[in-house]
Amino acid sequence: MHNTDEAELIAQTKQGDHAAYAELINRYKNALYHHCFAITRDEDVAEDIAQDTFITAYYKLTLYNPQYRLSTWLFRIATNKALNHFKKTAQESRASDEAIESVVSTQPLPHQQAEHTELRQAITQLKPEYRAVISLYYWQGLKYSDIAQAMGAPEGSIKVWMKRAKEQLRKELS
Amino acid sequence: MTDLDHLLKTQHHKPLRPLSTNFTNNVLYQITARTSPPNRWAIIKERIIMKFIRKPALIGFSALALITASGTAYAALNWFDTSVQTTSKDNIIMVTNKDCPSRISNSLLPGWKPKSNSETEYKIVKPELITPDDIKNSHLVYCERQAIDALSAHYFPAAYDFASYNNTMEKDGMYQPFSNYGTVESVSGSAVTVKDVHINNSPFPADHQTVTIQAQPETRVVDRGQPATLKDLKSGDQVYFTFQDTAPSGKLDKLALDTPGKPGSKVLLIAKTQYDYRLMDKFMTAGINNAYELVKTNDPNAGG
Repeated sequence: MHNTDEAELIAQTKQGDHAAYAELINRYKNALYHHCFAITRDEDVAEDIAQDTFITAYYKLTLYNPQYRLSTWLFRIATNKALNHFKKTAQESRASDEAIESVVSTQPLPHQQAEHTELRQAITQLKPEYRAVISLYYWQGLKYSDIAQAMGAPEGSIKVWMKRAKEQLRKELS
Repeated sequence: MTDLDHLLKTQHHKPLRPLSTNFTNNVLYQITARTSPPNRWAIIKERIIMKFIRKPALIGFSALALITASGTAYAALNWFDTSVQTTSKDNIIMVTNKDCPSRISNSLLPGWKPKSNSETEYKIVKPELITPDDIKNSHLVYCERQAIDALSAHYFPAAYDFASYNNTMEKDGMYQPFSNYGTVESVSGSAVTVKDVHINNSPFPADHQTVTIQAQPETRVVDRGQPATLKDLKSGDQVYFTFQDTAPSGKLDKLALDTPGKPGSKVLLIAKTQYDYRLMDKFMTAGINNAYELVKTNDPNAGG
């Protein structure tokens, strides 16, 4: 449940109060950035998409349904943008695998345990939709019902995606 | 497989770098650079208001048409000499505006003149929020700002030749926002620190209202239209400054104000102002709060 403070900030933002919106941005910017990164695997792209998400949200704030958490709505916008970006990038390169590889190759390998690295690489091989589900569930702490809202898909589909994602990860890690 | 669950929970794949420190300001900057707040009614009202307290002049791609003199001669000839008078009766305020500089961005319109006269009538609904003097002085601010924008275009015509850039921005619902105002805090060498910075009549976030502008060798400083120097600026002076952004079309340079002097961004003109530009804020806020109503106008610059 979002609190009244957040509702007030939203109301103030609708009146054009930028300080109120700055407060909302500060609350969610890191979560959105991390989530976008989970999908795009590129810090610069993730930051651009997170920024674009807040701009879009500002102009569509009147469409926001307060029955849902603001964060869920923001994740929905961000996820759509990140997935669209990913598709566009893949289209432009006409070879999605190459696109993924090129994105990944820009990231230096972390000096971490081998298991961690393997998991990172395995996640990178997932479809972006699966990465989004993993990110929202494990790293952003959303429930399946919220993820369904954020992804604009039925809850059943989200569970299926999660199942397939984990199956693929197990296969990659085995 | 609980191991996988555990791994996923504990090994959050975070980005290798944190967000940029000016992330929030960048978002607000881009929002401010667009014309409309999110509320539809507010959009309509703002459009009405902005007809009179105009948005900063669009890049005047035909501004050269109105500027034929040069240097101080231009300033002396064209500096605004606006006369604003008000009469009031039963909370109806008539503002008579004489010789107000026109928006240079409108100079392609048929019948455009460098200066114009107008009569505008307001009805004050909430006198506790706005006074006749506020309205009068807001008109003076508006006219002075038009004059400064024209002066900036005169000094830096190349910077105002942005036709294609602007077209793209207009399509995106943006307009040229690169003019700002604030209060001088200090001057040191070629750096001017300005506090209470506003852009497009909106204050920057509280933690970012003070910026240091690095004047370039070509930066012009003017006081009431006349050439001045940075040394002429004193703490407490109100200044209006324009800067150029050469970011690619449709892509605002979000950092321009954060990092004056960065490649692609340069301060063009710093103008010491005659009037308190914070009145713009007051006027617009009063409009959004229904403190007054626009009854009628024959302002040739209104519209569009």
